[in-house]
Amino acid sequence: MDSDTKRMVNIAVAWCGPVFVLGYIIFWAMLGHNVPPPNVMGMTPEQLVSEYYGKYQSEISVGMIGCCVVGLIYTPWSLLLASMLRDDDGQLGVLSMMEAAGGILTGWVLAFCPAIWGTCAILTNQVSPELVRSLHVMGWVIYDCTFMVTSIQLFGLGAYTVLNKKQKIFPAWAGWFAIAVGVIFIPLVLIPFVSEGPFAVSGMWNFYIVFGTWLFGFFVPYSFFMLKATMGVSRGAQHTLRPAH
Amino acid sequence: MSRSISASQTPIDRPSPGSEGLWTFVFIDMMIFLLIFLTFMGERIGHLALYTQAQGQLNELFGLANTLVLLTSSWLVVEAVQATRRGQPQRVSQLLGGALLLGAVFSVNKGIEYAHKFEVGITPASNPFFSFYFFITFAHFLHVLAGMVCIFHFRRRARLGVGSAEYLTGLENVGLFWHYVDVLWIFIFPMLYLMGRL
Repeated sequence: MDSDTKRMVNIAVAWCGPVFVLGYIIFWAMLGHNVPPPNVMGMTPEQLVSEYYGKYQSEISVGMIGCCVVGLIYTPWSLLLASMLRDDDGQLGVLSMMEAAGGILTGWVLAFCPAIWGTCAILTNQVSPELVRSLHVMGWVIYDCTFMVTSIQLFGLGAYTVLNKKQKIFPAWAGWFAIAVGVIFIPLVLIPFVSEGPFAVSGMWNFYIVFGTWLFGFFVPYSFFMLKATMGVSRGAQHTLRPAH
Repeated sequence: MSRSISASQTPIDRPSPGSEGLWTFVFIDMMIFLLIFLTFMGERIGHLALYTQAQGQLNELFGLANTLVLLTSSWLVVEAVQATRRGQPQRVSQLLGGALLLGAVFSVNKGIEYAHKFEVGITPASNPFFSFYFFITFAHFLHVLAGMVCIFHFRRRARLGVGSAEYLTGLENVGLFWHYVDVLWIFIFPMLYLMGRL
């Protein structure tokens, strides 16, 4: 592949990130009525059906099935990011692999859990409320309690950014923020156990702060520097996005 | 870059101890803890009775003991940095050993406190206060463990490392981090253990 084509591919994949965020806001947050999500641990099965799935059935169905598509757009973006984390010899080291593996698995979770919620919405009048609630809770347990897949991505990315002082694409502060966001996820393990307060599924910490810091502490800065690096590469100037020496 | 400080340098001329990266980390980590503290305070104001009642179930003597342990440990690390500047590897090793021992005392104390809570049926899911209590103290405890690993590493390297600028900068970084862990605890202790009693 010639360098100009490669540059265009990289730019297109770099834009997958913002497209994913925009798509997820539309499908998961807005159509899915997930800002905030229903506090399922504090609801009876009948309440979940009458106040959420029954009330917004069509919108949630469309939103969640939409997420099955846009959720996986996160994966190519993460892979491009991994390809930018090269060691001095141009190879991808273990930290890059952690970023890539975490990004792939996160992309899967971002699509798989909405598939479960979409099923709940589509079948909400055909199966018992208890089954709907069970599936709904299972979706959230997978979505939140497997936070380590994203934390692994963030730790690999953050550690590479901080430790590789020769790379000039990402500033060190962005790496520290990525690591910090990975740590902020820890209280997500509480969501199956609490039904009120900041650590509930719709709580201040486990919803607003976790999602907010992921967006503004990790995604926005890294996406910005990725776009800057890919779009800033002059035509034919280099074959790969290797760190400047 | 030489780390030596000439007598003619004013305090403003002198380089800050440690490296820029560590200062960046401390600043960002501080922002994260500030976010946690603000969320806690906001929730506490909204549910004052619940938080006050739950805070009464903590034993402030554990918190006080750990405050004294960390303060003493920080002082030992300061002395170790000074001993490094004077070129005294054996003294550095002794002081860091003391700091490490106090870190272990903190850890055991924390373990006993957690075990006692679990024994009486208090878990992170008991109520929002205890969710915060376990989250904040566990996040802080992870910092203590990380600090202990660093102190252990520099203690092992003391004999060969003392005298080099690289070792001094590294130990200054450890000292800065350890002071930060200490300062965090100085905020956590009154916020979690004392505020409900005022």
